Amino acid sequence: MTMLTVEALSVTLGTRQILRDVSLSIRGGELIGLIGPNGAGKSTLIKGILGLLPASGNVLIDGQPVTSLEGAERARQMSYLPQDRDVAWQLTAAKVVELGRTPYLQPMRGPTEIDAAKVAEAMGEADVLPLRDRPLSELSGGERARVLIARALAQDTPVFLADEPTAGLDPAHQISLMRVLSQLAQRGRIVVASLHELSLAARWCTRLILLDGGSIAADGAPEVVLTEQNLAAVYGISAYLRHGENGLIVQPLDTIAMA
Amino acid sequence: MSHRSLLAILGSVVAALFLASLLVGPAGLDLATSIGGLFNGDNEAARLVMQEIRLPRAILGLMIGATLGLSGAVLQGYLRNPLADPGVLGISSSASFGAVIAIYTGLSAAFSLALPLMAMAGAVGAVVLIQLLSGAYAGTLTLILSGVAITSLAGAMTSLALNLSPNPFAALEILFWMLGSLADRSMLHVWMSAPFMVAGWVMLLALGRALDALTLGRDVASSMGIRLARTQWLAVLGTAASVGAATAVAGAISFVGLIVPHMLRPLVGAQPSRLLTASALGGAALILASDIATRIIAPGRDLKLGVLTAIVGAPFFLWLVIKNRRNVL
Repeated sequence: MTMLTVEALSVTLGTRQILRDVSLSIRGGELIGLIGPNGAGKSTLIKGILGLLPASGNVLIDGQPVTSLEGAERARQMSYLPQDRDVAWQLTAAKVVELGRTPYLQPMRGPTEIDAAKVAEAMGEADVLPLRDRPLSELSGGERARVLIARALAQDTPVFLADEPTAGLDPAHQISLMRVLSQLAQRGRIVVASLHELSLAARWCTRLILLDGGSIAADGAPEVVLTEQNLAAVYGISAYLRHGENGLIVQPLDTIAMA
Repeated sequence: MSHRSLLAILGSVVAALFLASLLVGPAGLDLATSIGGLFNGDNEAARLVMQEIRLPRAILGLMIGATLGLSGAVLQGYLRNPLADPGVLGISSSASFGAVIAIYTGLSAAFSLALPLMAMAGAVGAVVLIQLLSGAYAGTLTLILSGVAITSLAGAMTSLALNLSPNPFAALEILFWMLGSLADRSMLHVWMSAPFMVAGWVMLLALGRALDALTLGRDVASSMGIRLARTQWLAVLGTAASVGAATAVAGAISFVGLIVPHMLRPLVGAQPSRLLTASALGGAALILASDIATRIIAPGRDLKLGVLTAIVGAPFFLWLVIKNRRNVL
């Protein structure tokens, strides 16, 4: 079982410290919802784990520091789905997904049969096989989001990090996306997704990490993290919380004056 | 059309144009005399025309065209922007400025490699300035504005050199050289520039996989194991070496690096790595064809290659801006 350990990760951009001594450990099978208000450090934590930002502290996968891994080797351990769905050129969906195999390609060689099989598998999981030959420009926002997930899935890594994967999607697409992430976790992967929709986070994630001002404010099962006190203290909102047969239901109600 | 057949077609077009370039010229040699002149020295006049005038001209056309097409494809892929090319970004004019300094100061007369080296230094300077001005996440507008600023600066400095030129004939020579031409170049020019162009190509052609990954943005490319710093160095040095050397021998030839990748992109499924070789061949074809056209349109008038490509290229650039207007603004 894969183990991702973050030790005292801090990120300072310019003079501003975005992330302060964040430590956590995540085991395979967990679907982590990274929640917190805008500017809490969710994206920074994801990028810091990936090594995309200059950071202090350690990130270890199965006890091995990721900084000791060479680029392609690290890319076979962790994949990244950014919030930005911009694709520069009008590639077909299949070509975009195939890019996920980059860390596996041999120098001067094209994709192998194994790569082709992984691409097809990833496209199947994200339910985008029928879109294979369509240029990305012709796809709807939801279809494009699923193609980009398939790209990250094709990278076939034990750790999968997604930055606001549900942003800008309608409820049906949000749910189908969370289902893909959930299935990924059920197969033993580590999945971390930053989320703004608290109800989605409560419904699908096995564990929530609440960030506030670059530090962890709460960490645990959705019922433990999503409390009236935490929501008031961190988001400055009142909310309607109910434990039903479908788990915890969260309905933000109003902003409250911060003490 | 498969990628192989596209490359085969482009390759055949380049080969045909290369041959045509050897056979067209004011000397009016017939086919047998031309080919004879190329391989043996029985007919001294034909030998001179073929080996000393037409062969270097055709070789330079091929190499400079390939350089411009390839560097355009790499810059567009690296900057993720269809408006990027060595001319628009001011790299060509900066290379020109470097070369003019070499001519003006007499460095090039004292030391023949000074011309390409100074041109390359100019090209490196432009690329470094672009990086500084527009930052790592260059938006289209910033990038084009940086290019405008650099082109103006290089142009102003070149004008200053012309302005202060001690004799009017030198100034005229610089001016004519700057218009961009392949006329009256010798094998010496080929030997002087070829190593730098080939070195540049090697660096640029190594970038295919990185450019493909950059389609998804810098962060994703990095998360897929692409070393961004290495990519940037190869793109900068490869462009500077090849475009600098091309500019040093032929002056600034604009728009080829812009047009060729743009026209070929749909034929390679928009994949940046596949665009590289195709654009190199397309650029070679375009320069060879344009150079033949300068000889046919105005024989004896020395129509400059750079003037012709600019006349054809500028309207194309306008069309591209209009087509991309929504993205640019």
